[in-house]
Amino acid sequence: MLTSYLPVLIFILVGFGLGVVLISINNILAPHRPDEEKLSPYECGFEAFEDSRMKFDVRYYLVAILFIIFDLEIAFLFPWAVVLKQIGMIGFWAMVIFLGILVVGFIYEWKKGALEWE
Amino acid sequence: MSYHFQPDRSQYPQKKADGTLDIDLASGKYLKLWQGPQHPGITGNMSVELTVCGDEVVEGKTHVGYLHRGFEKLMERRTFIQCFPIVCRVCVPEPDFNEYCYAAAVEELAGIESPERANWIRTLILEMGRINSYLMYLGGQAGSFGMGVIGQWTTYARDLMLDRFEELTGARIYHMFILPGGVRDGLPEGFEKRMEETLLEIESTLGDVYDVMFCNAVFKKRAVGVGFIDPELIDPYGVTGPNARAAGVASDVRKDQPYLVYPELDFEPVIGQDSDIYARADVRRRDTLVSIDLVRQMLAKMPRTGPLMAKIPNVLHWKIPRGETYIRGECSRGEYGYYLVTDGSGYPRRVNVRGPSYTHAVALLERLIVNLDIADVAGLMVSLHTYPPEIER
Amino acid sequence: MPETPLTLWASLPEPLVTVLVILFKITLILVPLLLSVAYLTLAERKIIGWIQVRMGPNRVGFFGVAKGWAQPIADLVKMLMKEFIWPRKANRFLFVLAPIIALTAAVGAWAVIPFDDGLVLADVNAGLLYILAITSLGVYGIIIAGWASNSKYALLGAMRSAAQIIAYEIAMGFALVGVLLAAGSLNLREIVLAQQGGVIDWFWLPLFPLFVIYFISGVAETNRAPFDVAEGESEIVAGFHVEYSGMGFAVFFLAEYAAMILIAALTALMFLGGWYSPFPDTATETPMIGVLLGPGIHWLVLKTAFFLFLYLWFRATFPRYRYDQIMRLGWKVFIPVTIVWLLVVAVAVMGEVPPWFNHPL
Repeated sequence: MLTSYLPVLIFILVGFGLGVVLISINNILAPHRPDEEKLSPYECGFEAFEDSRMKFDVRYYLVAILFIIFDLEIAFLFPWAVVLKQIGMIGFWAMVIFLGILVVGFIYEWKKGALEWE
Repeated sequence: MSYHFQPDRSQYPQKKADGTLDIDLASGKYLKLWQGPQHPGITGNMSVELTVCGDEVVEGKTHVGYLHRGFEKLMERRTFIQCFPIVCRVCVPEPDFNEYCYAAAVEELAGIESPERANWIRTLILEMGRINSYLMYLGGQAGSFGMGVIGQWTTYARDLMLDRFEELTGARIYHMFILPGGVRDGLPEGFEKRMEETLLEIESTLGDVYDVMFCNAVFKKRAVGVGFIDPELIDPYGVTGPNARAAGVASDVRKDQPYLVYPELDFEPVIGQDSDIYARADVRRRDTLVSIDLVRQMLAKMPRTGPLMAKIPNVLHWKIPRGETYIRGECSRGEYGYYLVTDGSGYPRRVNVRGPSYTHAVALLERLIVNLDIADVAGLMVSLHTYPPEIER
Repeated sequence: MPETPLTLWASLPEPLVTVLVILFKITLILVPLLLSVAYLTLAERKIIGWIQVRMGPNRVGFFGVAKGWAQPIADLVKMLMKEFIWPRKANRFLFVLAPIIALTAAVGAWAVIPFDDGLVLADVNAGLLYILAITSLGVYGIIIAGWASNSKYALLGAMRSAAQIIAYEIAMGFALVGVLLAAGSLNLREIVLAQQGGVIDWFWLPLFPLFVIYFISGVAETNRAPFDVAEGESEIVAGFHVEYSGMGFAVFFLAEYAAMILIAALTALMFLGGWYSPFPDTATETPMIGVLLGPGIHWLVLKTAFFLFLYLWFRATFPRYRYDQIMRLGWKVFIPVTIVWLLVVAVAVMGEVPPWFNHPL
């Protein structure tokens, strides 16, 4: 069964190689004339105020956590969707209970404001 | 137990004893960003230094001066007729008001009266310039939200009007047509017919712009409810023009202190109610339609014969007696005025240009920008319809 | 016996032959794909130009003819010759890795796309799962680009863009589950086979909300208008790729357009019947044009082209949404709608509602 994935592996490697080749050609063919202004970070024409490694908002972290939870839910839904006809009513209601628990969690985070401003 | 979400106000900066905001840049909560002079989302060359907390602007400070060309000082060293080519270059996108206000100020101090036919042609040019300015505004407003189509369509329509300017005055942008004493020339042959075609094309473009921009769900979501100008700010900040009219205040110099031939024209100032970005854009769109109607009225009622220039003395040795005057007009952005002081010599003693953009773009913007989402800053700046060239001449 | 190419070929070891055949097929997929990506950029400029009362590029031609059609080639050569600026204090390895990851993620999914019945590089039984997995890897390219650039604007833009992408990925995932319910298999070829028949039999009708949400989420995933707040010039100028120049920028560009074509092709495959034609099967009987009217790869190409046109039409018509409006749409509107419609489809599948769900497994 794994042999059917060999073309996929080679395709990924070819894609990766394509990116490497393109950038290498660029670095070979193009001029290299670094100067102070070109290397400084862009800020609409002014000196950058602070170092860019700044603290970032905790909302992004929250969104990432929520994404993981929902993505795992989708991962569980995939096999269920494929075999729904074979597992019949019991399988259907089992998944409805699972989805229900997750929907309760979704409503909780909606009301708590985790989805606000973002 | 309440499920209603309240934003966490503990995040917003407190005010210090002297009224300024207590912003500690080192705390990492605030970020200073420049929406600087090199930025695609600004109507010209000015910059805004924003202090941002997350996505929200906490404080904004405008910096102007990138376009200072020293016009007012230049005019003090030139004779009255030598100033005439300079004035139209003060405000780049709508130059006719400069010419008219300067010419009217000189005439008033010199005691000259421009003839009837010249006044009609002057009004015609002012209204044509107003249409052009509004078309450019509509393109910029849509562009500040990311919709480039409208700018392309209105540039096309504006180009047709610039062709009419070219056949009337000889130039597309800097007309140098309105002299102290009258205007330089009359209407060419067939002007009315070509003007009518241009106006029909502009109306058709405005209809398309209405369908694509004003009925666009995303544009409405971006523009409705954003950038609210409180009607109480109108007087203290000196807000004029469509910015004030969209807040419900009927301020239009053409009606309040009529000049030129406006008493003989039939129109109503366009008022809006909501005073957000959408209302201001809508007021300007309807104002363009009013201007188109005015142009048609003028072409129908204009006298076809008569002198174009009053008798003025030899301009090389023209000395105007002592005096001072302030001439105001309603340009597309608000009240435009020239304050002229003469002292009996051949040179103006002082010329001060009062453009509406200074109060709108500097004072009002710093007031309105607080607690605005950073994505809307460009939209707000364009909706105040400011042209930086006239802020610092 | 003299060595002819055929005997040379027969004498090669078995694994090497397999790999060479696979490489040949990969070339057959990649070359048209890269050409499509290049000419999609031209199509975008031309079509958006015509919508905006102007013509797109119409100067650069092949030896004086086909003016404008050599524009993508000219752009590629220009990008290759532009200096690749390494910003001061940027993390060099990560800086160059980011666009390569983005490109690999966008290109790698094409290994399992079936172009016609039997015309697929790798007919894996978990094709849809593989596609979901590999397109999710594209987010790494964006985050790494923002971090490695050592620029405030790049980091802010990268995080906002990444948060937007993962929010819409959930909506896309739920839409895909709906397709799975309707088709009963993860294999893309079997998903298309489950849509055998005319226009009514395709999945866009029973799964209509999922179809609309999948396509709009696809537009949001590829950071295209009206969801292109990360590239919005009037705000955070140019977002996560602000520090890239030359080929680094071009590779991000290629990855974005390859992802666009991928989403368009997937929508055509999963909701619009793939290579099936809207004309009934009897149409294939007509002489001469019967081949065109019947199913085939040209129908897949046409449907993909239609969705790409929608992409360009959206870009020309709509202004940009604000960031919090985008997130509100992704979390509070799309996810509830998809969950509800999933349950509806599940009930329909259990009840074997004709004409879509009553075919045997």
